[in-house]
Amino acid sequence: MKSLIALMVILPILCGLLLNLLHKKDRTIKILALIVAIILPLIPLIASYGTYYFGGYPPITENPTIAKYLPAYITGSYLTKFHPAITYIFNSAQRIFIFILGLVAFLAIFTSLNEVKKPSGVYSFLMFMATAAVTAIILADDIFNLYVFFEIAAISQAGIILSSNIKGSYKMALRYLLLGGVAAPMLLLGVALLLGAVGNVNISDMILAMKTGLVNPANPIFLAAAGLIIFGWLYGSGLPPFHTIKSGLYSKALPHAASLIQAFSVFTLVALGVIILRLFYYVPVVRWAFIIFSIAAMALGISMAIMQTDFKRLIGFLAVGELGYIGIGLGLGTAMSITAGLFQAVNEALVTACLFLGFGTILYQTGTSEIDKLGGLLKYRPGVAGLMILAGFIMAGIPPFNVFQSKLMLIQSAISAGFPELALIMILLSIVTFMTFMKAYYAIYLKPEPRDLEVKDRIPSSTIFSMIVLLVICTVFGILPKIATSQFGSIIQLLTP
Amino acid sequence: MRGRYIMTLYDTIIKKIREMEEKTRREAAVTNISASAVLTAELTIISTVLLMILMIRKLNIYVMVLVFLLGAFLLFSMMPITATLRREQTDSFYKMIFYVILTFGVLISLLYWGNINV
Repeated sequence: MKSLIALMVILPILCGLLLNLLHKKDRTIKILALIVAIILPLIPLIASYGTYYFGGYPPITENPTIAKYLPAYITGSYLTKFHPAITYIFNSAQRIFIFILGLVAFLAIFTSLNEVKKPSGVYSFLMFMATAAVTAIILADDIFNLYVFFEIAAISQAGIILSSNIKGSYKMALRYLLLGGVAAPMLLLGVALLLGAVGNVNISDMILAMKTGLVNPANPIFLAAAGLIIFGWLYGSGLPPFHTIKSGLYSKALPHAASLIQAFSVFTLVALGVIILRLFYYVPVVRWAFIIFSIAAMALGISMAIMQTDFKRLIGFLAVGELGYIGIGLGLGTAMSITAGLFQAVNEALVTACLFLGFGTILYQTGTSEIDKLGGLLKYRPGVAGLMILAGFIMAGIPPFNVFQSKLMLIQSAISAGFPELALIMILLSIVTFMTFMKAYYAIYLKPEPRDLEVKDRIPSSTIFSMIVLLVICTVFGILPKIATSQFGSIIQLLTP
Repeated sequence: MRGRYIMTLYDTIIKKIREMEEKTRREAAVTNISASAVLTAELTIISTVLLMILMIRKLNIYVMVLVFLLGAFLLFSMMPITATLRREQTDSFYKMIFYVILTFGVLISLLYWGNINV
């Protein structure tokens, strides 16, 4: 069943390529896309844990047949532990991340296929490609392979925005690519410096080389690499200074695409963040950088969100702001904070996807995202309004839902780590998140309906189904948080001494 | 006296919002909701920055006190901060690229400083 690890990346790529070729064959596209989208979250559930080697073989220590024919100066050295292949690692943490990513991808693709009469093969191709790329980022133990998929994910996301046909989407996608033209080469340069210093691109091998004294970790080359890779991480995850472009990107995407793109940001933040902390475990300032950029994301994202008059931009800024909680969890570096940060990542991917889909229903009903032009929508679909307020409560951290559990854990871990100020910041910003959501909710659903507002009573049932699925999982994770938190042991082991 | 000061601050913020909306050619009136949103954002930014400064105590408590007083003075004298913040965080590519380069500089300095001091 280890071959299923590779299938998690290969299947969406193959499906995407086929969909591209099948462009205009509407019925075939719908059936194929839907089948593969259903399979995506199921593969991680049935795949066995382990390591998959692409285009190579396991380390010599695990391969006695090869070791027999090698000279003693090789078999007696650390080279025998190195990975002469592109390596993917699949453990319990990767399982839950890929399952949640697959689920959000399925719901986004399912909603997209149901909302349009003529599905676009190219559009579905981009969604599958980006999903495959982020899955590979989660699995990769090879930093160059990770960089390649990082670029594919960025280009696919820009492509999704280009295909949305929303006013200004071309400009936004181009800006995102241009900023990527600055940040991604920095990441590549960081990878090149590491390769130059260690002579290997496998992350586990690099760490082994540093810990066993094969290379000197105090070499300034490593420090420069840390700076460059962190810069790429900020771009991929949408932390400041890339928070404006990321929130703009969400606002120019169709709601189902935005729900998927935010999940890409969340899992890129986690996957690359864990790699940075593993590689530069001996540089305390790296953890400080995580905390500073995370607080900046929270403060800027949430305070900008409350001032927005466009609900798509509002939720975009909120999504960026909430990323900060994950970064703080990773940056604090204790077992509890890392668990809380990773749990927050899972929760945020779920609830933000639900909110994007929910705000999409308002856009579908009224055709506008300007909050000032809206009002009185409660009477049209009170059930959807109920789902929306539930999603808002979850994001703000109201008990007994999942985000409450992860934020509480984060606050407790900040206090235990000796940073009560951080706990206060997190509480304060959760309150402001709640205010932001309530402000938008009041303006859209509760205030008197403007006279010139035209409202469609119909909402696609696929959107409501997707919202209910996401909210049910949020509630289950809230009542039984151990289902998720017990999965992160493999990462905590790597990050804590 | 304090009440008068708060009202003056409130008027200043409302005036700034009007100016901002005129600049963006928006004709919508300044509502209670938009004014309270800007005030909340203002207080959020100030409190977050001040709380963040408190973390400097891990390095040196005297430096923290100094930075806190300096930070508090600067923040209160620069009010309303959100007006500037909103103007700077637009979709302008030039502003984005400026902050990207600035952050890159700060990040590299932080790592260099961290390496020689930690």
